[in-house]
Amino acid sequence: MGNKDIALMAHLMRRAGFGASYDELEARAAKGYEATVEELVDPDANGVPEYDELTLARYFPDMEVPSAPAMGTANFMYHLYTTPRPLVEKMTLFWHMVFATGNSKVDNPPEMLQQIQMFRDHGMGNYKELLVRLSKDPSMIFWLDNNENHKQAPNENWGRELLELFSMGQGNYTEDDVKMAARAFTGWTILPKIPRTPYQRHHWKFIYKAEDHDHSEKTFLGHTGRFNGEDIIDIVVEQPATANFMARHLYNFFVADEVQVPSWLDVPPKDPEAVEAIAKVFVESEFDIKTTLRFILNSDFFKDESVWFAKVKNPAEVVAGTIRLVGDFQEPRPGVLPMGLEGTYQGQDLINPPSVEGWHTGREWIDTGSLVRRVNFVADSFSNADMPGIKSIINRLGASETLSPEEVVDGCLELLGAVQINDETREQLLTHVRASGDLSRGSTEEETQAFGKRVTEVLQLIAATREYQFG
Amino acid sequence: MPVTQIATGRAFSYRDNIGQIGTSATSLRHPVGLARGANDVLYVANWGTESQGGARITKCVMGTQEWLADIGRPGSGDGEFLWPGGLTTDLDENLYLTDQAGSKVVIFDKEGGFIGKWGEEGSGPGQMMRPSGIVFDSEENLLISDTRNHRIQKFTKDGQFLDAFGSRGDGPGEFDLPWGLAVDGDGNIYVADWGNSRVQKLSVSGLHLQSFGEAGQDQVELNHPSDVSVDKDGDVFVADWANNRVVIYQSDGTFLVNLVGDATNLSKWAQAKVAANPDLAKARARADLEPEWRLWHPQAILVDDEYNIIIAEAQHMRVQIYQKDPDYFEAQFTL
Amino acid sequence: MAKDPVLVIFQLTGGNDYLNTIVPRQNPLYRDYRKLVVIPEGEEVPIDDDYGFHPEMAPIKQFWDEGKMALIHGIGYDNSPRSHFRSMDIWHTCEPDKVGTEGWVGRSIQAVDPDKENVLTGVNFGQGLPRAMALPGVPVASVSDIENYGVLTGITDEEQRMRALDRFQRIYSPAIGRGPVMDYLGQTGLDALKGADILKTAPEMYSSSVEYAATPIAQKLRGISMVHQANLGTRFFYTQHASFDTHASQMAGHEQLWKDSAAAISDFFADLRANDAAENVVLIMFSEFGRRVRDNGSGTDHGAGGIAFAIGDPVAGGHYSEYPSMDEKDLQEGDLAPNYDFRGFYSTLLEQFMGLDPTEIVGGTFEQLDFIAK
Repeated sequence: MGNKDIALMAHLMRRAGFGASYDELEARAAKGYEATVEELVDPDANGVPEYDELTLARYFPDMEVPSAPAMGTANFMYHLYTTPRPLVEKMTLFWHMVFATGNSKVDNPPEMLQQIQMFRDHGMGNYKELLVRLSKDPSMIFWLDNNENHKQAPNENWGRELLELFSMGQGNYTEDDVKMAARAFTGWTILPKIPRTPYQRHHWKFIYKAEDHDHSEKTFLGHTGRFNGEDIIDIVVEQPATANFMARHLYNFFVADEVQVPSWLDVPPKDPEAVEAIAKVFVESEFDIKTTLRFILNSDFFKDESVWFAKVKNPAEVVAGTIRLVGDFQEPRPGVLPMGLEGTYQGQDLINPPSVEGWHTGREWIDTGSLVRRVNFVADSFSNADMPGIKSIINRLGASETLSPEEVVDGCLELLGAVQINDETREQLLTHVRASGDLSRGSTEEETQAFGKRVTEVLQLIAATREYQFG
Repeated sequence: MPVTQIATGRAFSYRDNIGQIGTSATSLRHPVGLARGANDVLYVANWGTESQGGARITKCVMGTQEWLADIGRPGSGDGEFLWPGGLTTDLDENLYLTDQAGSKVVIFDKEGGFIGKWGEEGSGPGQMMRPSGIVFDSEENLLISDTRNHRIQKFTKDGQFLDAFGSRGDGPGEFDLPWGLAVDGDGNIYVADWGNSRVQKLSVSGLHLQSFGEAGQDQVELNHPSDVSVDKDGDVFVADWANNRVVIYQSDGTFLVNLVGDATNLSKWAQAKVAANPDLAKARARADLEPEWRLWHPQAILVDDEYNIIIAEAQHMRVQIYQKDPDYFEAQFTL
Repeated sequence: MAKDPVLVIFQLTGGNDYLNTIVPRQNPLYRDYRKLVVIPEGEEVPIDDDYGFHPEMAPIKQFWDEGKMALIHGIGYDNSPRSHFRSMDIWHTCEPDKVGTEGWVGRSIQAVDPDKENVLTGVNFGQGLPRAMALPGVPVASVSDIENYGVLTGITDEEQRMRALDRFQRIYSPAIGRGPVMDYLGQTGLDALKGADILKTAPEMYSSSVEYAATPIAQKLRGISMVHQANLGTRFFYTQHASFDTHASQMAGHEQLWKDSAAAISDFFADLRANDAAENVVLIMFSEFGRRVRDNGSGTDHGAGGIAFAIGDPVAGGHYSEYPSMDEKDLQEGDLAPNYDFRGFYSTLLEQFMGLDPTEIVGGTFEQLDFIAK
C-alpha cells in the first residue's frame, strides 16, 4: 500500500469527482492518469453512459418533479452520488455555485432542476454559449428580475450580476456599462406561468419580446451599436478580465481554496502563474470548457502534492463522497430525502444558495454546528459494516491474519483514498488502537465481527479528524 | 368540447378527469396503480412523496367523483407500504398491492381493512426484487412482475409460489425491468417490457407469442411502456410512459390510435380549488394551459368492461378517463 | 442584579391562519368569507367582545387574562410575495427588497456577545440553522435532541464513545501553526466539544414537576427550559413548529397544531414559573404570512397580513396595531393588508427588552409599540 499512482488518482477523483472506492482507484490507476482525465473530461467520446434519468423517474416520481424544495435538493444530491460521469456533475455543481440561483425566490424546485440540467448538458461545452443559455434560463430571469426589465423601465439586476459575478468581476466596468447591459437585455423574459395548482407545476418558458426591447444605440465597454443581449455577451467574453475571473474561479474550485470572491479585487491569486495559464488556455480555446479542464487536470500545479488536501470539502462533497465510498444507493431505495437534507444541515442547501453571490467556501464551510454534522454523518456512515464499501475495506484488511496498530491505521487511511494526516494525529490514532492491541481477523463469526468493529472504529476516528475535512 | 379519435370502426372519446395535487383526501399524489370495483368504484394507488407522505389507495366513485376512503398509509408495518408498484382486485373485490420498497404484496378488503401481506426479498424462486405489475390470471392465481429479477412469477393468492418465467435479455420471452401486466379473455399474458420498449404477449404457460411496438417515438412505437390493458374485444392499450401517451393496437398488432391527453376541463376536486382562488383563475386565464391537458407519465392503464379507458398520470396527480365506442359508424349525412 | 433578558422565538412555519387564530367574532364578513374553514359560532375562546382565540388555544388564554400576552395585529410588510421561502427569508434577514444572507438574530447575538465569549449565546432547537441565526463567525448551537447532542453520537457503546471523544479532544487540541485553516478547525472542534459539554449539564441539572407532552414542539420547549434554567448565558432561543401550511383539511390540521403549541407553551411557562425562571423571558410567535380571507373549500391559501404574539412576565398585555379591515375594497388580492411592519416588532423587543440598538440589526428605524412593561 501507499502507492503514489493511487494517491494521485485519489486526488484527481476527489477534485474532478466525488472520490472513489479503492477498487475504482486501482482500476483507474491501471488505465493511467491521462486516460482517466480523458474519460472524465469527455465521457461521450469514451463511452461512459449518462445517469439513466428514466430510472430516477420510475423509482422517484416525487423527486423527478418535486413539489417540496427538499426533494429538489435531494434530486441534485442524488445525481452527485450516483452519476457515472463525476466531472460532469462536478462542473454542474461548479456552475450552480458561480451562477448561484436560489429556490428561496424562484419557489419552483422543478424549474430550478431545469437550470441544473442545463448546466449538466452544457456546463462542459462553450462558456459563451453557456452565458447565452443562462440569460434565457427562466429561473435566472426570475431570480434576477429580468422579467421586470422593460424598455420603458429597465431593471439592472441581471445586467449588473452578469458583469460582477458571472463574467468580469468587480472593478472592470462602469455603472454606465451596467445600465447599457441592462437595456440590451430588455425584452428577455418569460411567458405567463401555468399555476402550480390544481394539478402540477409546469416548466416556465423563455420568450424574447421584441416590442419590449430597447432597440436604441448603446455604448458598452467602449463599443457602440444597437446591442442586444447576445452582443453584450460577445463583448464581455472578449474582455481579459473575464478570462482571468473565470480562471480564478476554476482554480479556486479545482486546485486550492482562494479568499472569498468579493476580495479578489484586492487580494492577488494564490498562484498567479497558474491562473494566468488557465486564462490563456481558456482564451485560446475560444472559451472551450473541456479544453480548459483537460489543461488544469493534466498540469503540474494541479498534480503537485502541495495542493492535495488544500481545500475544505464543501458539504456536497462530504455527503456525495461518503455515499459513493460506502457504496450506498447502487440500487434505487427509499431514503433520498435525508441525503439531500444532510447537505442542507451541513450548510449547503443545494438549489438554494443564500444569495446570488453563492456560498462562501473554504474555511467558511466550518462552524461548530456544521463540523459536528460533518463528523457525525461520515462517522455514522462508516460504522455500517453491511455497506459494500465498508465491507470491502474490512475484507481487504482481513487478508492478513493479524494486523499491528500501524498496519490498521495506515491501511484504513490508504483504503479511504490515500488520506494524508499530520504525524501527531496519526500518533493519536495509533495510541487509540494500541490500547486494545493487535487486530486479529479470527475465524469464528464472532471474531470476524469484532475485527470489523475495531476497523470501523478506526474509520470513524479518521472521519472525525481535522484532516478529513479537506479534500 | 370532447375530443374523439376514430379508427377502424372504433371511436375513443375523452370523458373527464379526477384528481388534483395536494395533501387532502380529495387529491391524488403521483397516482401509479388502478383497479375497478362494483358500483362505479375506482381505486387509485398513490405513490405519495418521501417528504410529505401520502402513499395510500384512494377509493372514489368514477362518475360523481365522490371521495369514499383512503386505504393504507406510508410505512413498513401492517397495512402500510411505501412504493406502490401495481394494484388489482380479486373476485371479492379484495385489493392486492405490490410494495416495491418492501418486495411484498399487501392485501386489503374493499372497506380498507388490512387482510395480510406476504413476500420475501431475494432472487431465489418465489422471492422478489421490487415487484411491480400484478394481475389475476383466469384461475385466480397472481402474476407478478418481479422487476429487478427480470421475470414474471406466479403465486396463489395467499403467496404460494407456483411458477416463474423469463430472464434478463432482449430476446423473445426475455425481459428488462418488466412493469405492468394484463391478462386477456383467453388467459394470455401481456407484459410491459419497460427496458426493451415493447409489450410481449405470452401464452398461459409463459411462451412468447407476439410483441407489440419497438423502441422509438413514431406513433406506432413505444418508449419505456409502464402498463398494458386488454379490453374484451382484444384491443391492446399501452401506457407509453416516456412518450407521454397511450398507444392502442388491435390484437393482431395493427396500430389504431394514440391518446395524448385532453383534460381541458377541471376535475370536480380542482374546480373547488380554483373557485376559492380568484388569483388562480386569473393566472390560468393568462397562461397557455396546453401542457396541462396532456398526459404526463401515464403510468397505469385499465380498460374496464364498460369500455372506460382509465389512465393514471404519475406526474399530473389525476386520472384521465376516455370511453371506447366499439361499434362506431360514421354516418354519411348530407348536411 | 436583574437577570439578563432572554428571548424565545417560536416560529409558526408555513403561514398561520390569522382569521381562525384570532377570530373576529363580531364581524359578519368573517362568516361570509369563511364557509367551511371557520370556527363555529360560540366555540371561540372569548378575548373580549370583538375577538376570540381558536378553541384549542384555551390553555394560553391565562396569559391574556394576566395581562401578559400582547397581540400584534396585521403584522407583515408591503408587497408580500406569498411564497413561503421568500417570505420567511424576509422575516429572517429583514431584507424585503433584496436577497439577504445575514439573520437578525445572528446580528443580535453579535451585539450581545461581540467577543464570542459564550458559544451558547444563541441556541436553536431543531435541525440545521435557521437563516435568522446565520452570521459568519457567530457560533450558534443547533440542537435536535438535547439528551443526545454532541460529537460522535452515533457510537452507542458509552465506553467506546467516551474513549473516542477523549481522542477527538486530543486530535483537535494542540498544534498551533499548522496553518490558519487547520488552527481554525482545531478551535472550532474544541468549541463544539465545549458547547456539547456545557449543554450536557443542562438535562443533568434539570428537574421539574411539569410533565411536557411527547409532541416535538413540547420537547423542544422543554429543551429550551432546561438550557435556560441551567444558566448557561443563552440569550436567544429559536425553535419552530410546522406545518401551518393548511391548504387542505385545515379544520383538523390547524386544530392539532394549536392544541400541541398551546399545551407546550402553557407547560413551558408553568415550568419556568415553578422554578423562578420566568421573570426575564419573553416568548414571541410569528408566521411568514397569514392566509387568504376566503377559504378554498377545505383549507386556505397563502395570504399576507398576519398575527404575532409576545408572551411573558415582562410583557404589557393587550391589542397592538389593528386588525386589518375585511372589507372587500381593503383586501389586497384577497388578503388582509398588513398595517404594521414586522421590523418594528423586532425593534421593540431589541430596544425595550433586550437593551440593544435595533437600527443596524433590522436595517432602519421602524415604529415601535409599547408591549414591553415599563
